[in-house]
Amino acid sequence: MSVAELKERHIAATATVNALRERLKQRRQALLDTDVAGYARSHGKTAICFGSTDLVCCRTLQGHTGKVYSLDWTLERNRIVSASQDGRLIVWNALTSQKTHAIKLHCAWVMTCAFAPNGQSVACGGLDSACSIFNLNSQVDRDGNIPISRILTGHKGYVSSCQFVPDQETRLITSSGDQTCVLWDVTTGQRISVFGGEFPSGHTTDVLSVSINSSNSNMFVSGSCDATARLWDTRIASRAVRTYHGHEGDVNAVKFFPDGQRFGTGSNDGTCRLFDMRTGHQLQIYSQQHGNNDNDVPIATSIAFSISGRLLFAGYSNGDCYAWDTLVAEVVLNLGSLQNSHEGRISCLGLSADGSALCTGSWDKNLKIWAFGGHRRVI
Amino acid sequence: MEAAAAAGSEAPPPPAPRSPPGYPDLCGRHRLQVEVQILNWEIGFLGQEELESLEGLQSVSGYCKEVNEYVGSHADPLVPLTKKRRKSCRIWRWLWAKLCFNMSWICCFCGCPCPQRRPICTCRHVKNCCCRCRHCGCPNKNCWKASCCRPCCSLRSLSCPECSCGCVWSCSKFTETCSCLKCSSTCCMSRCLCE
Repeated sequence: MSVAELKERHIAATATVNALRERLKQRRQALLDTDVAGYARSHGKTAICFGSTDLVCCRTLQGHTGKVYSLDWTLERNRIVSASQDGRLIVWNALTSQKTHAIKLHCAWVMTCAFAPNGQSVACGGLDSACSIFNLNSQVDRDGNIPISRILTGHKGYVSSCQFVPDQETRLITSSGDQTCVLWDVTTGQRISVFGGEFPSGHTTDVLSVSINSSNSNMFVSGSCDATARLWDTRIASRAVRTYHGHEGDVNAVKFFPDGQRFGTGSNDGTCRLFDMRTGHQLQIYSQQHGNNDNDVPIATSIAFSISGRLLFAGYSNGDCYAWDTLVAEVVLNLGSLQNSHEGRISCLGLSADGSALCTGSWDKNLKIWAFGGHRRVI
Repeated sequence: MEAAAAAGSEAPPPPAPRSPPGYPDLCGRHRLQVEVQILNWEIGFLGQEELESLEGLQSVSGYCKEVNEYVGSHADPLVPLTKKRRKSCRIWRWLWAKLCFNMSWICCFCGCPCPQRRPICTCRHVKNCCCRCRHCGCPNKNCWKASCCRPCCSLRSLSCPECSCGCVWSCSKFTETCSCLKCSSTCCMSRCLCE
Protein backbone atom coordinates (compact mmCIF):
# COMPACT_ATOMS: atom_id res chain seq x y z
CA MET A 1 0.00 0.00 0.00
CA SER A 2 1.38 3.39 -0.86
CA VAL A 3 1.96 6.14 1.64
CA ALA A 4 -0.79 8.20 0.02
CA GLU A 5 -3.27 5.36 0.45
CA LEU A 6 -2.16 4.90 4.03
CA LYS A 7 -2.71 8.58 4.68
CA GLU A 8 -6.21 8.39 3.26
CA ARG A 9 -7.02 5.39 5.41
CA HIS A 10 -5.61 7.21 8.44
CA ILE A 11 -7.86 10.20 7.82
CA ALA A 12 -10.91 7.99 7.30
CA ALA A 13 -10.20 5.90 10.39
CA THR A 14 -9.66 9.01 12.51
CA ALA A 15 -13.00 10.40 11.35
CA THR A 16 -14.73 7.10 12.19
CA VAL A 17 -13.15 7.01 15.66
CA ASN A 18 -14.22 10.59 16.34
CA ALA A 19 -17.77 9.85 15.19
CA LEU A 20 -17.98 6.77 17.39
CA ARG A 21 -16.64 8.70 20.38
CA GLU A 22 -19.23 11.41 19.82
CA ARG A 23 -21.97 8.78 19.62
CA LEU A 24 -20.71 7.22 22.82
CA LYS A 25 -20.67 10.61 24.51
CA GLN A 26 -24.25 11.27 23.48
CA ARG A 27 -25.41 7.87 24.70
CA ARG A 28 -23.78 8.55 28.06
CA GLN A 29 -25.31 12.00 28.16
CA ALA A 30 -28.74 10.45 27.73
CA LEU A 31 -28.16 8.34 30.83
CA LEU A 32 -26.93 11.33 32.84
CA ASP A 33 -30.22 12.13 34.56
CA THR A 34 -28.50 13.51 37.66
CA ASP A 35 -25.21 13.54 39.50
CA VAL A 36 -24.30 12.61 43.05
CA ALA A 37 -25.00 16.12 44.36
CA GLY A 38 -28.32 16.36 42.57
CA TYR A 39 -29.41 13.01 43.92
CA ALA A 40 -28.27 13.82 47.48
CA ARG A 41 -30.02 17.19 47.53
CA SER A 42 -33.22 15.69 46.21
CA HIS A 43 -33.11 13.35 49.18
CA GLY A 44 -32.62 16.09 51.72
CA LYS A 45 -28.90 15.84 52.25
CA THR A 46 -27.09 18.99 53.34
CA ALA A 47 -23.42 19.75 53.57
CA ILE A 48 -21.64 18.70 56.73
CA CYS A 49 -20.54 21.54 58.91
CA PHE A 50 -17.05 21.80 60.32
CA GLY A 51 -16.39 23.89 63.38
CA SER A 52 -13.23 25.92 63.65
CA THR A 53 -11.50 23.31 65.80
CA ASP A 54 -13.01 20.17 64.37
CA LEU A 55 -10.00 19.36 62.21
CA VAL A 56 -6.69 20.54 63.57
CA CYS A 57 -3.09 20.22 62.65
CA CYS A 58 -1.79 18.07 65.45
CA ARG A 59 1.66 17.28 64.08
CA THR A 60 4.21 19.01 61.89
CA LEU A 61 6.88 16.61 60.68
CA GLN A 62 10.00 18.64 60.05
CA GLY A 63 13.23 17.28 58.75
CA HIS A 64 13.28 17.29 54.99
CA THR A 65 15.46 19.97 53.43
CA GLY A 66 13.69 19.91 50.10
CA LYS A 67 10.20 19.79 48.67
CA VAL A 68 8.15 16.81 49.77
CA TYR A 69 6.87 14.92 46.74
CA SER A 70 5.23 11.81 48.06
CA LEU A 71 4.08 10.07 51.24
CA ASP A 72 2.49 6.81 52.30
CA TRP A 73 1.12 5.39 55.55
CA THR A 74 1.66 1.91 56.90
CA LEU A 75 -1.33 -0.33 57.32
CA GLU A 76 -0.78 -0.27 61.07
CA ARG A 77 1.48 1.25 63.71
CA ASN A 78 0.96 4.72 62.29
CA ARG A 79 4.20 5.24 60.46
CA ILE A 80 4.66 7.38 57.41
CA VAL A 81 7.31 7.29 54.70
CA SER A 82 7.99 10.48 52.77
CA ALA A 83 10.12 11.26 49.74
CA SER A 84 11.70 14.60 49.09
CA GLN A 85 13.71 16.59 46.59
CA ASP A 86 16.53 16.47 49.15
CA GLY A 87 17.14 12.93 47.94
CA ARG A 88 15.98 11.17 51.08
CA LEU A 89 13.23 8.94 52.27
CA ILE A 90 12.26 9.52 55.88
CA VAL A 91 10.19 7.11 57.92
CA TRP A 92 8.29 8.85 60.70
CA ASN A 93 6.46 7.69 63.77
CA ALA A 94 3.33 9.72 63.16
CA LEU A 95 2.30 9.83 66.81
CA THR A 96 5.58 11.00 68.27
CA SER A 97 6.94 12.85 65.21
CA GLN A 98 10.17 10.93 65.60
CA LYS A 99 12.15 9.87 62.58
CA THR A 100 12.83 6.17 62.66
CA HIS A 101 14.78 5.95 59.38
CA ALA A 102 16.40 8.41 57.01
CA ILE A 103 17.46 6.78 53.75
CA LYS A 104 19.81 8.57 51.42
CA LEU A 105 18.99 7.72 47.83
CA HIS A 106 21.38 7.11 44.98
CA CYS A 107 19.22 9.26 42.76
CA ALA A 108 18.00 12.42 44.44
CA TRP A 109 15.21 12.94 41.90
CA VAL A 110 12.65 10.84 43.66
CA MET A 111 8.98 11.23 42.77
CA THR A 112 7.15 8.51 44.65
CA CYS A 113 7.37 6.23 47.67
CA ALA A 114 5.28 3.48 49.18
CA PHE A 115 5.20 1.19 52.19
CA ALA A 116 4.98 -2.56 51.79
CA PRO A 117 1.89 -4.11 53.39
CA ASN A 118 3.95 -5.58 56.22
CA GLY A 119 5.57 -2.23 56.93
CA GLN A 120 9.06 -3.74 56.74
CA SER A 121 10.04 -2.38 53.33
CA VAL A 122 9.67 0.81 51.40
CA ALA A 123 9.81 1.42 47.67
CA CYS A 124 10.65 4.58 45.79
CA GLY A 125 11.16 5.68 42.21
CA GLY A 126 11.83 8.75 40.13
CA LEU A 127 13.90 10.13 37.30
CA ASP A 128 16.30 7.20 37.43
CA SER A 129 13.50 5.20 35.71
CA ALA A 130 13.83 2.51 38.34
CA CYS A 131 12.04 1.47 41.50
CA SER A 132 14.27 0.82 44.52
CA ILE A 133 13.24 -1.35 47.44
CA PHE A 134 14.74 -0.90 50.92
CA ASN A 135 14.31 -3.32 53.81
CA LEU A 136 14.03 -1.23 56.96
CA ASN A 137 15.48 -4.02 59.06
CA SER A 138 18.67 -4.23 57.01
CA GLN A 139 22.08 -3.58 58.54
CA VAL A 140 23.33 -0.18 57.56
CA ASP A 141 26.45 0.09 55.44
CA ARG A 142 29.70 1.83 56.30
CA ASP A 143 28.22 5.24 55.65
CA GLY A 144 25.25 4.53 57.85
CA ASN A 145 22.89 4.12 54.92
CA ILE A 146 20.37 1.37 54.40
CA PRO A 147 21.40 -0.53 51.27
CA ILE A 148 19.05 -1.18 48.39
CA SER A 149 17.65 -4.68 48.71
CA ARG A 150 16.22 -4.81 45.19
CA ILE A 151 16.12 -2.52 42.20
CA LEU A 152 13.38 -2.90 39.61
CA THR A 153 14.65 -1.81 36.22
CA GLY A 154 12.91 -1.89 32.88
CA HIS A 155 10.95 1.30 32.57
CA LYS A 156 12.10 3.55 29.74
CA GLY A 157 10.94 6.68 31.48
CA TYR A 158 10.64 8.16 34.94
CA VAL A 159 8.71 6.30 37.62
CA SER A 160 5.91 8.61 38.67
CA SER A 161 4.00 6.46 41.13
CA CYS A 162 4.27 3.12 42.86
CA GLN A 163 2.05 1.04 45.10
CA PHE A 164 2.39 -2.41 46.64
CA VAL A 165 -0.49 -4.77 45.89
CA PRO A 166 -2.41 -4.75 49.20
CA ASP A 167 -2.66 -8.44 49.95
CA GLN A 168 0.53 -9.51 48.24
CA GLU A 169 3.81 -8.55 49.85
CA THR A 170 5.83 -9.38 46.79
CA ARG A 171 4.00 -7.47 44.10
CA LEU A 172 4.21 -3.84 43.19
CA ILE A 173 2.68 -1.70 40.45
CA THR A 174 4.47 1.30 39.00
CA SER A 175 3.41 3.99 36.57
CA SER A 176 5.86 5.71 34.28
CA GLY A 177 6.62 8.48 31.87
CA ASP A 178 7.15 5.77 29.26
CA GLN A 179 3.32 5.52 28.96
CA THR A 180 3.11 2.18 30.72
CA CYS A 181 2.29 0.66 34.06
CA VAL A 182 4.16 -2.43 35.19
CA LEU A 183 3.36 -5.19 37.66
CA TRP A 184 6.58 -6.41 39.32
CA ASP A 185 7.63 -9.41 41.34
CA VAL A 186 9.70 -7.73 44.03
CA THR A 187 11.50 -10.89 45.14
CA THR A 188 12.89 -11.62 41.68
CA GLY A 189 12.93 -8.10 40.31
CA GLN A 190 11.14 -9.28 37.17
CA ARG A 191 8.31 -7.64 35.31
CA ILE A 192 5.23 -9.81 35.43
CA SER A 193 3.08 -7.68 33.11
CA VAL A 194 3.31 -4.44 31.17
CA PHE A 195 0.13 -2.43 30.73
CA GLY A 196 0.03 -0.18 27.71
CA GLY A 197 2.97 0.79 25.54
CA GLU A 198 2.99 -1.35 22.45
CA PHE A 199 -0.53 -2.58 22.97
CA PRO A 200 -3.54 -0.60 21.85
CA SER A 201 -5.83 1.02 24.43
CA GLY A 202 -2.86 2.01 26.54
CA HIS A 203 -2.17 5.54 27.60
CA THR A 204 -0.82 7.71 24.84
CA THR A 205 1.43 9.85 27.03
CA ASP A 206 3.06 9.81 30.46
CA VAL A 207 1.24 7.93 33.20
CA LEU A 208 1.31 9.94 36.42
CA SER A 209 -0.58 7.98 39.04
CA VAL A 210 -1.88 4.59 39.96
CA SER A 211 -4.35 3.25 42.52
CA ILE A 212 -5.07 -0.39 43.29
CA ASN A 213 -8.56 -1.49 44.25
CA SER A 214 -8.42 -2.67 47.85
CA SER A 215 -11.65 -4.65 47.35
CA ASN A 216 -10.29 -6.49 44.32
CA SER A 217 -6.53 -6.23 44.00
CA ASN A 218 -6.63 -7.55 40.44
CA MET A 219 -7.97 -4.18 39.35
CA PHE A 220 -6.13 -0.90 39.31
CA VAL A 221 -6.68 2.45 37.72
CA SER A 222 -4.10 4.79 36.22
CA GLY A 223 -4.14 8.52 35.43
CA SER A 224 -2.21 10.12 32.62
CA CYS A 225 -1.17 13.27 30.83
CA ASP A 226 -3.51 12.16 28.02
CA ALA A 227 -6.36 13.45 30.23
CA THR A 228 -7.82 10.01 30.77
CA ALA A 229 -7.95 7.47 33.50
CA ARG A 230 -7.85 3.79 32.54
CA LEU A 231 -8.90 0.68 34.36
CA TRP A 232 -6.68 -2.38 34.13
CA ASP A 233 -7.05 -6.03 35.08
CA THR A 234 -3.67 -7.40 36.11
CA ARG A 235 -4.63 -10.72 34.54
CA ILE A 236 -5.20 -9.12 31.13
CA ALA A 237 -2.30 -6.89 30.22
CA SER A 238 -3.12 -6.66 26.54
CA ARG A 239 -5.72 -3.94 26.82
CA ALA A 240 -7.33 -1.54 29.24
CA VAL A 241 -10.71 -2.66 30.55
CA ARG A 242 -12.13 0.82 30.22
CA THR A 243 -11.09 4.38 29.49
CA TYR A 244 -12.62 7.29 31.36
CA HIS A 245 -12.88 10.58 29.54
CA GLY A 246 -13.92 13.93 30.91
CA HIS A 247 -10.91 15.75 32.24
CA GLU A 248 -9.41 18.54 30.18
CA GLY A 249 -5.89 18.25 31.48
CA ASP A 250 -3.35 15.85 32.94
CA VAL A 251 -4.82 13.44 35.46
CA ASN A 252 -2.33 13.83 38.29
CA ALA A 253 -4.02 11.69 40.90
CA VAL A 254 -6.34 8.70 41.02
CA LYS A 255 -7.72 7.02 44.13
CA PHE A 256 -10.36 4.34 44.61
CA PHE A 257 -13.50 5.18 46.55
CA PRO A 258 -13.76 3.08 49.73
CA ASP A 259 -16.45 0.82 48.24
CA GLY A 260 -14.13 -0.28 45.45
CA GLN A 261 -16.77 0.42 42.79
CA ARG A 262 -15.86 4.03 42.07
CA PHE A 263 -12.73 6.09 41.94
CA GLY A 264 -11.78 9.73 42.13
CA THR A 265 -9.38 11.72 39.99
CA GLY A 266 -7.57 15.05 40.32
CA SER A 267 -6.40 16.99 37.32
CA ASN A 268 -4.52 19.94 35.89
CA ASP A 269 -7.91 21.31 34.82
CA GLY A 270 -8.48 22.14 38.48
CA THR A 271 -11.29 19.66 38.99
CA CYS A 272 -11.69 16.40 40.80
CA ARG A 273 -14.16 13.86 39.45
CA LEU A 274 -15.86 10.72 40.62
CA PHE A 275 -16.26 7.91 38.08
CA ASP A 276 -18.16 4.66 38.29
CA MET A 277 -15.63 1.93 37.59
CA ARG A 278 -17.97 -0.62 36.06
CA THR A 279 -19.97 1.61 33.76
CA GLY A 280 -17.62 4.48 32.99
CA HIS A 281 -20.18 7.07 34.08
CA GLN A 282 -18.86 10.33 35.43
CA LEU A 283 -20.89 10.66 38.61
CA GLN A 284 -19.73 14.03 39.90
CA ILE A 285 -17.42 16.94 39.20
CA TYR A 286 -15.85 18.74 42.16
CA SER A 287 -14.96 22.18 40.92
CA GLN A 288 -14.68 25.70 42.24
CA GLN A 289 -15.47 28.84 40.29
CA HIS A 290 -12.39 30.79 39.30
CA GLY A 291 -11.52 33.83 37.24
CA ASN A 292 -11.67 33.80 33.45
CA ASN A 293 -7.94 33.35 33.13
CA ASP A 294 -7.10 29.65 32.90
CA ASN A 295 -3.72 30.34 34.44
CA ASP A 296 -5.43 31.23 37.71
CA VAL A 297 -7.00 27.82 38.17
CA PRO A 298 -4.96 25.88 40.73
CA ILE A 299 -4.28 22.33 39.68
CA ALA A 300 -5.38 19.39 41.77
CA THR A 301 -2.23 17.51 42.66
CA SER A 302 -3.41 14.81 45.05
CA ILE A 303 -6.60 13.29 46.43
CA ALA A 304 -7.77 10.91 49.15
CA PHE A 305 -11.17 9.76 50.37
CA SER A 306 -12.12 9.54 54.01
CA ILE A 307 -12.95 6.09 55.26
CA SER A 308 -16.69 6.41 54.63
CA GLY A 309 -16.23 8.27 51.37
CA ARG A 310 -18.11 11.27 52.71
CA LEU A 311 -15.07 13.50 52.42
CA LEU A 312 -12.76 13.92 49.46
CA PHE A 313 -9.54 15.64 50.42
CA ALA A 314 -7.83 17.37 47.50
CA GLY A 315 -4.49 19.15 47.54
CA TYR A 316 -3.87 21.99 45.12
CA SER A 317 -0.90 23.81 43.66
CA ASN A 318 -1.72 27.06 45.51
CA GLY A 319 -1.47 25.46 48.95
CA ASP A 320 -5.18 24.91 49.42
CA CYS A 321 -6.34 21.56 50.70
CA TYR A 322 -10.07 21.27 50.31
CA ALA A 323 -12.29 18.84 52.09
CA TRP A 324 -15.14 18.23 49.65
CA ASP A 325 -18.42 16.85 50.88
CA THR A 326 -18.65 14.19 48.19
CA LEU A 327 -22.41 13.89 48.43
CA VAL A 328 -23.29 17.53 47.87
CA ALA A 329 -20.12 18.57 46.01
CA GLU A 330 -19.34 21.49 48.30
CA VAL A 331 -16.09 22.51 49.93
CA VAL A 332 -16.73 22.15 53.65
CA LEU A 333 -13.25 22.99 54.88
CA ASN A 334 -10.03 24.39 53.54
CA LEU A 335 -7.09 23.10 55.55
CA GLY A 336 -4.99 25.70 53.79
CA SER A 337 -6.80 28.41 55.73
CA LEU A 338 -6.46 26.81 59.15
CA GLN A 339 -3.91 27.60 61.80
CA ASN A 340 -0.52 25.99 61.15
CA SER A 341 -1.33 25.22 57.56
CA HIS A 342 1.27 24.64 54.84
CA GLU A 343 3.02 27.51 53.15
CA GLY A 344 3.39 25.99 49.74
CA ARG A 345 1.91 23.65 47.17
CA ILE A 346 0.32 20.51 48.55
CA SER A 347 2.07 17.76 46.61
CA CYS A 348 0.72 14.64 48.29
CA LEU A 349 -1.71 13.50 50.91
CA GLY A 350 -3.05 10.31 52.41
CA LEU A 351 -5.35 8.95 55.08
CA SER A 352 -4.17 6.67 57.86
CA ALA A 353 -5.41 3.10 57.69
CA ASP A 354 -8.10 3.66 60.32
CA GLY A 355 -9.22 6.87 58.66
CA SER A 356 -8.67 8.97 61.76
CA ALA A 357 -5.87 11.16 60.46
CA LEU A 358 -4.86 12.86 57.24
CA CYS A 359 -1.24 13.55 56.36
CA THR A 360 -0.34 16.23 53.84
CA GLY A 361 3.04 16.86 52.23
CA SER A 362 4.10 20.12 50.72
CA TRP A 363 6.73 21.99 48.78
CA ASP A 364 7.32 23.91 52.04
CA LYS A 365 9.42 20.85 53.05
CA ASN A 366 7.04 19.79 55.81
CA LEU A 367 4.45 17.14 56.39
CA LYS A 368 1.46 17.83 58.57
CA ILE A 369 -0.99 15.53 60.25
CA TRP A 370 -4.57 16.58 60.68
CA ALA A 371 -7.05 14.89 62.94
CA PHE A 372 -10.40 15.45 64.52
CA GLY A 373 -10.25 18.00 67.31
CA GLY A 374 -12.44 15.86 69.51
CA HIS A 375 -15.56 17.93 69.96
CA ARG A 376 -18.81 16.43 68.96
CA ARG A 377 -21.61 18.91 68.77
CA VAL A 378 -24.96 18.04 70.22
CA ILE A 379 -27.72 20.32 69.02
CA MET B 1 41.34 23.97 -34.10
CA GLU B 2 37.95 25.29 -34.80
CA ALA B 3 36.62 21.90 -33.71
CA ALA B 4 38.59 22.19 -30.54
CA ALA B 5 37.22 25.68 -29.99
CA ALA B 6 33.70 24.43 -30.68
CA ALA B 7 34.29 21.58 -28.29
CA GLY B 8 35.60 24.05 -25.74
CA SER B 9 32.49 26.20 -26.13
CA GLU B 10 30.39 23.15 -25.35
CA ALA B 11 32.35 22.29 -22.20
CA PRO B 12 30.37 20.41 -19.64
CA PRO B 13 28.83 22.58 -16.96
CA PRO B 14 30.91 23.06 -13.85
CA PRO B 15 30.33 20.45 -11.18
CA ALA B 16 27.57 21.31 -8.80
CA PRO B 17 26.55 19.65 -5.57
CA ARG B 18 23.90 17.02 -6.02
CA SER B 19 21.03 16.38 -3.68
CA PRO B 20 21.19 12.95 -2.14
CA PRO B 21 18.92 10.39 -3.67
CA GLY B 22 15.44 10.25 -2.19
CA TYR B 23 15.50 7.40 0.38
CA PRO B 24 12.20 5.71 1.01
CA ASP B 25 10.57 7.08 4.26
CA LEU B 26 10.36 3.65 5.85
CA CYS B 27 9.89 4.99 9.38
CA GLY B 28 7.07 7.31 8.42
CA ARG B 29 5.33 4.60 6.40
CA HIS B 30 5.70 2.10 9.18
CA ARG B 31 4.45 4.63 11.70
CA LEU B 32 1.41 5.33 9.53
CA GLN B 33 0.68 1.62 9.19
CA VAL B 34 0.87 1.14 12.95
CA GLU B 35 -1.36 4.14 13.55
CA VAL B 36 -3.95 2.88 11.07
CA GLN B 37 -3.88 -0.53 12.78
CA ILE B 38 -4.41 1.09 16.18
CA LEU B 39 -7.26 3.20 14.83
CA ASN B 40 -8.93 0.13 13.30
CA TRP B 41 -8.60 -1.68 16.59
CA GLU B 42 -10.14 1.26 18.41
CA ILE B 43 -13.02 1.37 15.89
CA GLY B 44 -13.75 -2.24 16.66
CA PHE B 45 -13.46 -1.68 20.40
CA LEU B 46 -15.64 1.44 20.45
CA GLY B 47 -18.24 0.00 18.12
CA GLN B 48 -18.59 -3.42 19.58
CA GLU B 49 -17.70 -3.19 23.18
CA GLU B 50 -18.15 0.33 24.43
CA LEU B 51 -21.44 1.11 22.68
CA GLU B 52 -22.84 -2.35 23.38
CA SER B 53 -21.89 -2.09 27.02
CA LEU B 54 -24.11 0.97 27.33
CA GLU B 55 -27.14 -1.05 26.30
CA GLY B 56 -29.06 -2.05 29.37
CA LEU B 57 -27.12 0.23 31.70
CA GLN B 58 -29.22 2.00 34.24
CA SER B 59 -29.15 5.76 34.42
CA VAL B 60 -26.59 7.54 36.57
CA SER B 61 -29.07 8.11 39.40
CA GLY B 62 -28.92 4.40 40.24
CA TYR B 63 -25.20 4.64 40.86
CA CYS B 64 -25.56 7.91 42.76
CA LYS B 65 -27.95 6.08 45.04
CA GLU B 66 -25.29 3.44 45.69
CA VAL B 67 -22.80 6.13 46.65
CA ASN B 68 -25.27 7.76 49.03
CA GLU B 69 -26.14 4.44 50.64
CA TYR B 70 -22.53 3.44 51.11
CA VAL B 71 -21.55 6.75 52.67
CA GLY B 72 -24.58 6.74 54.93
CA SER B 73 -23.87 3.28 56.25
CA HIS B 74 -20.27 3.85 57.33
CA ALA B 75 -19.00 5.83 60.31
CA ASP B 76 -16.23 8.32 59.72
CA PRO B 77 -13.78 9.57 62.37
CA LEU B 78 -13.18 12.80 60.50
CA VAL B 79 -16.78 13.84 60.04
CA PRO B 80 -18.35 15.94 62.81
CA LEU B 81 -21.31 14.14 64.24
CA THR B 82 -24.45 16.01 65.08
CA LYS B 83 -27.47 14.54 66.71
CA LYS B 84 -30.63 16.22 67.78
CA ARG B 85 -31.50 16.32 71.40
CA ARG B 86 -34.91 15.18 72.40
CA LYS B 87 -37.33 18.04 72.96
CA SER B 88 -37.78 17.19 76.61
CA CYS B 89 -34.04 17.38 77.11
CA ARG B 90 -33.91 20.84 75.61
CA ILE B 91 -36.63 22.01 77.93
CA TRP B 92 -34.78 20.71 80.95
CA ARG B 93 -31.61 22.47 79.90
CA TRP B 94 -33.42 25.73 79.37
CA LEU B 95 -35.05 25.43 82.76
CA TRP B 96 -31.83 24.73 84.57
CA ALA B 97 -30.07 27.49 82.76
CA LYS B 98 -32.72 29.93 83.92
CA LEU B 99 -32.62 28.72 87.50
CA CYS B 100 -28.83 28.58 87.57
CA PHE B 101 -28.83 25.34 89.47
CA ASN B 102 -25.48 23.92 90.16
CA MET B 103 -26.39 20.32 90.21
CA SER B 104 -24.11 18.31 88.07
CA TRP B 105 -26.02 15.13 88.46
CA ILE B 106 -29.03 16.79 86.83
CA CYS B 107 -26.92 18.65 84.34
CA CYS B 108 -25.82 15.38 82.98
CA PHE B 109 -29.21 13.81 83.48
CA CYS B 110 -30.66 14.46 80.13
CA GLY B 111 -29.45 11.51 78.21
CA CYS B 112 -25.77 12.32 78.33
CA PRO B 113 -23.93 9.05 77.94
CA CYS B 114 -20.84 10.31 79.67
CA PRO B 115 -20.09 8.11 82.63
CA GLN B 116 -17.84 10.62 84.32
CA ARG B 117 -19.52 13.73 85.51
CA ARG B 118 -17.76 16.78 86.60
CA PRO B 119 -17.91 17.77 90.23
CA ILE B 120 -18.69 21.22 89.00
CA CYS B 121 -21.08 21.69 86.16
CA THR B 122 -22.96 24.90 85.66
CA CYS B 123 -25.65 24.58 83.08
CA ARG B 124 -25.06 28.06 81.83
CA HIS B 125 -21.61 27.00 80.79
CA VAL B 126 -22.50 23.87 79.03
CA LYS B 127 -19.04 23.73 77.58
CA ASN B 128 -17.70 22.76 80.95
CA CYS B 129 -20.06 19.87 81.20
CA CYS B 130 -18.78 16.56 80.14
CA CYS B 131 -21.91 16.03 78.13
CA ARG B 132 -20.05 17.48 75.21
CA CYS B 133 -17.68 14.60 75.08
CA ARG B 134 -19.06 11.17 75.09
CA HIS B 135 -16.08 9.31 76.35
CA CYS B 136 -14.16 11.58 78.61
CA GLY B 137 -11.95 9.13 80.33
CA CYS B 138 -9.41 11.60 81.59
CA PRO B 139 -7.74 10.17 84.66
CA ASN B 140 -6.98 13.62 85.90
CA LYS B 141 -10.07 15.01 87.52
CA ASN B 142 -8.71 18.50 87.23
CA CYS B 143 -8.33 18.30 83.54
CA TRP B 144 -10.31 21.45 82.99
CA LYS B 145 -7.22 23.41 83.84
CA ALA B 146 -5.96 25.64 81.10
CA SER B 147 -2.71 23.79 80.93
CA CYS B 148 -4.34 20.57 79.90
CA CYS B 149 -4.63 19.90 76.26
CA ARG B 150 -7.25 17.23 76.28
CA PRO B 151 -9.79 17.89 73.58
CA CYS B 152 -12.68 16.91 75.80
CA CYS B 153 -11.86 19.79 78.07
CA SER B 154 -13.33 22.99 76.78
CA LEU B 155 -10.54 24.98 78.33
CA ARG B 156 -8.06 23.13 76.25
CA SER B 157 -4.93 25.13 75.88
CA LEU B 158 -4.12 26.26 72.41
CA SER B 159 -0.52 26.71 73.35
CA CYS B 160 0.34 23.14 72.60
CA PRO B 161 -0.98 22.43 69.13
CA GLU B 162 1.54 19.67 68.77
CA CYS B 163 -0.04 17.71 71.56
CA SER B 164 -1.36 14.39 70.49
CA CYS B 165 -4.48 14.91 72.55
CA GLY B 166 -5.94 16.49 69.47
CA CYS B 167 -5.80 13.25 67.62
CA VAL B 168 -8.17 10.38 67.72
CA TRP B 169 -5.70 7.62 67.26
CA SER B 170 -6.00 6.43 70.78
CA CYS B 171 -7.09 2.90 70.98
CA SER B 172 -6.96 0.26 73.63
CA LYS B 173 -4.24 -1.40 71.63
CA PHE B 174 -2.05 1.64 71.58
CA THR B 175 0.59 1.76 74.26
CA GLU B 176 2.77 4.71 73.47
CA THR B 177 2.08 8.08 74.97
CA CYS B 178 3.22 11.41 73.71
CA SER B 179 4.84 14.15 75.63
CA CYS B 180 3.88 17.65 74.79
CA LEU B 181 6.81 19.94 75.31
CA LYS B 182 4.75 23.04 75.67
CA CYS B 183 2.48 21.84 78.41
CA SER B 184 5.39 19.84 79.86
CA SER B 185 3.30 16.93 80.83
CA THR B 186 2.39 13.63 79.39
CA CYS B 187 -0.73 14.21 77.40
CA CYS B 188 -3.33 11.56 77.51
CA MET B 189 -4.73 10.30 74.28
CA SER B 190 -8.24 11.16 73.28
CA ARG B 191 -10.80 8.43 73.01
CA CYS B 192 -10.88 6.13 70.10
CA LEU B 193 -13.84 6.29 67.83
CA CYS B 194 -13.69 2.57 67.30
CA GLU B 195 -14.75 1.99 70.88
